[in-house]
Amino acid sequence: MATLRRVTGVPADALFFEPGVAWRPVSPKLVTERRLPVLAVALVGVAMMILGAALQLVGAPVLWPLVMAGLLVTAVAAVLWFVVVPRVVSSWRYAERAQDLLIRHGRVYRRLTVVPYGRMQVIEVSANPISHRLGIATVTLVTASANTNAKIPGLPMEVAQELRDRLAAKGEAMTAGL
Amino acid sequence: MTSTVNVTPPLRRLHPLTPVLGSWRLLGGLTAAAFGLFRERLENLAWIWDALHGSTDFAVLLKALGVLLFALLVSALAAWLSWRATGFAIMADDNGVGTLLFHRGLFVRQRSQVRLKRVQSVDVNQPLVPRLLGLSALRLDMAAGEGASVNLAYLRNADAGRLREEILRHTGVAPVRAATEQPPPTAGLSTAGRPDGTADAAIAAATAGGLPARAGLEVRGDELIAQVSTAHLIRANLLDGVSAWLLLVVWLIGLVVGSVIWGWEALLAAVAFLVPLTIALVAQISRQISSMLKDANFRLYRTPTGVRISSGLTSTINRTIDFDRIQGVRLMEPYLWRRFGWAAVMVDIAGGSRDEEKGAALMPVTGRSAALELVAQVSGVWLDHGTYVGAGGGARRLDPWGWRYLGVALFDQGAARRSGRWRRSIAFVPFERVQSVTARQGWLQRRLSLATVYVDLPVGAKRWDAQHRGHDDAATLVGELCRRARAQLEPASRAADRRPEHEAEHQATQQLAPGVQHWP
Repeated sequence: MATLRRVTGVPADALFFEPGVAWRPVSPKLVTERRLPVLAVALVGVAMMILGAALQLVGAPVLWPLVMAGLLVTAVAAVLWFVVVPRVVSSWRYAERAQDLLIRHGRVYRRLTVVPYGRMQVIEVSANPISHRLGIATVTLVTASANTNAKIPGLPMEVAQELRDRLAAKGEAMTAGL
Repeated sequence: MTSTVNVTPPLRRLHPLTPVLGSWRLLGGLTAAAFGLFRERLENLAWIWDALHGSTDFAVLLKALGVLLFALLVSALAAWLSWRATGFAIMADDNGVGTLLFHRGLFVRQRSQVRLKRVQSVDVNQPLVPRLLGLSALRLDMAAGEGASVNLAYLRNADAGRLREEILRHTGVAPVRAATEQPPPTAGLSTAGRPDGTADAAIAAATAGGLPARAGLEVRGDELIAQVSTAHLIRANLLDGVSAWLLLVVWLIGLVVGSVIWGWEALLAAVAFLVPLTIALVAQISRQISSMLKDANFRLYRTPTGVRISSGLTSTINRTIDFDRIQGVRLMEPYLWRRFGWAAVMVDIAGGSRDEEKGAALMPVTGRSAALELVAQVSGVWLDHGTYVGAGGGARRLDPWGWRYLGVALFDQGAARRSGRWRRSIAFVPFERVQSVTARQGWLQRRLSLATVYVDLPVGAKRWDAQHRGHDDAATLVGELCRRARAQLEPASRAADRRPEHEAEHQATQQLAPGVQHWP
């Protein structure tokens, strides 16, 4: 348990960190993907600062609020970039047990989803162009319930495909309907 | 869909009056369009008056009438064509598996094949106008939700009844599941609020043929197990919405007093000022009235494999639910009802339309014991016999009013949760319906070492939740729910034909070019 605490930085407990279960992390490349929108925000912040400073030099009326706002936006983006995104990504974990799949994520707002293999209807492997370039994919488990939110993002492509095949085989063996 | 017959059997048509009933809607749209065209002329309504008295040119009025007539003709023609393009048939393949073919659509042709085994519920509905004409609509709900429902509107009552029985023969595969420990239901399930013999007498009279004519829709052999008197329904509804009614009274008194003191201008100002309140009030009251209209004449029948609900004053609903299609059961006890020992029972069915998301009323109001017995009938569980484990004192911080009433009980067949300080409810979910289990923990919950456990159920059923359980408790609950859900997983053979329709159940092929197909 101590190791879990050190690895994840959150206190271990029986509910979200079931002991004796091989929790697997997702690929760190997901951090890169999730950082892209942050980059856009940061660029906007920098652009605001540059614009403000340039206009000031030309001699326009007071524009330091624009510079300050740009600074603020950049600071927020920096926090997201260096702290929030890596922490959120590293909170994704999944574990295959004999009978069901466990997925958990979130630090402030934590969520654990348990899907018995027999309830899986569809297993989806999807990748948008960016994750495609990064070589990662999202595995989504669909059950008959619309509320089931069983998604594992940021799996290396071959891991995702192996997982899909394993899940499909297990689901085939244990399927049940409504 | 492998076993589907390739040859299309002769299709049956809907009732010939269908286009007439359907064209009213289209006519409405066209009238609106015509109104838009003639808006400049119509803007000053006085000209109609003038035209009628011959003081302006009569030709404009004639032109308007002509357009209207033309619109009527066009809409009737369109409705007639679409009626001609609509047809259905029931087929059975070599294994006796029934399929409903449903073809419709004039321009976008749609051909659906519905595996009758996958049908979740069969309704016979009668909106007001078709009801007066002796017509009804047959509606099949599928687990996939609203998009997958099939609505056969309209059929003659007798035809609809026959068709329903035919369909039910194909769907009803489940053995009758009765509450094991109890005698048959008729004894306790009487009209609530009348514990004396009158209720039974009323039921006897009703079954003996005292029912008003709903010829063709009544099924022989279905046993009437409960009904609700109108007076009781009205009382219960008034009590349930008593706050809204009180608010209405206060609001009206306020308006009258205000107008007396400050005059009519003040009244208008007050109405405008109170617009949001007015809207909310009107919405609440209209909801109550429509629910009363919907539940009026409520009767509950026992069929060989499930129950049948029949209710409605202006439009009637006749819905058949097999026991093995029930996804969840809820017992509701609003605050004021508890003083009288009343309760309502709701069932969740997979699929169903959006307006029924809160579940179909299996019993709008009855005595608590009768309601519990009804729950036992459909789920096999006596909800009051379980040991409910409370959420514990930690929950007090997050739910200061209701924390004492939070509780979870595990039965052999499923899990029940209790909640609600004012509006108490017990929700039961059978383990075999559990699709996945989710635990969530917000920031505050984490400070208090609490978590909420959800059971994800098929589309159409309300999500089951156990709020604010302690950590260990929640972990046990998650583990136990999963373990028992797995234990309920059926062998693959039986599951094969009960898998929901992501794959094949409801195939609707759409084609833009009508000529490509061999039909009609």
